[in-house]
Amino acid sequence: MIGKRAITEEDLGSLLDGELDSACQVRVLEAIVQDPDLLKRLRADSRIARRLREMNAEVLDEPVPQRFLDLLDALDDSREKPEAVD
Amino acid sequence: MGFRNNELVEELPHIRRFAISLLKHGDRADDLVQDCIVRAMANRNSFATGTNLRSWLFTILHRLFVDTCRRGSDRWTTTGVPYLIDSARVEPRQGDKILLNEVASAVAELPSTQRYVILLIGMQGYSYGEAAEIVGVPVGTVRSRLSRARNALREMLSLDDQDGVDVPYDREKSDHRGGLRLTA
Repeated sequence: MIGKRAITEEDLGSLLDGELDSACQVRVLEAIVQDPDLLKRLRADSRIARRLREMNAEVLDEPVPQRFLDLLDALDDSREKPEAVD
Repeated sequence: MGFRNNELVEELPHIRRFAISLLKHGDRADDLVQDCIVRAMANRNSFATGTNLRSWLFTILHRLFVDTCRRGSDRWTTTGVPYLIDSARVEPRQGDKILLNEVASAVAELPSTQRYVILLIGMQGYSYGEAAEIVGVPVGTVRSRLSRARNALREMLSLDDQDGVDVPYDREKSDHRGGLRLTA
């Protein structure tokens, strides 16, 4: 509960991360509007947050490396193994 | 109990992206992912069907990462050729003042505990509670690690304040957070 205490950097982070209930969110937003330093910090954190969401996103479109698929096959003991030939 | 192989394969791009962001070096990241696959397959019967496989894998990955960091091995250090510096992978949008590789380099400078948490929440979109469960610490610890990480990133990066702020208004977490836009 934020109540009447001063807004902290953790509060700003919680706002960005959607971790505040609506009452706390209003309280933090009101404080930000009245404090240029808080707004500046929030803007900086927001820009970083956007880049983090985009970071290495292209990896999601790459095929799964064959070495991983081969490893999975080798480790899968539920698969029927070919019988050994003497 | 357990999971099917194809379910694990579907999660691998997400685990690999996370490992690459954590370690930056593609080869080392793939070694970590490989260890994660081995551990997951060895424990597949302990995975409760219907629960979140990706979160379970991030928990395994975290244990592997922490164990290796504790051993002091340089196998997982973030030095080396950064994955993102590879020019073929860097496609900064025109007008961006902070390039993605600058953020990636700054993240690499964070202590490992802060790095894992900020990537779980900032990149993967986990809630504080979910991240706490994955990392095995109280929510308050997640909150303070995250705050210290953001503070450090803000100091490391040169930021202007000309952009607006995306503020989510919904507590539901996802990879794409909607929100109101605050400008002043």
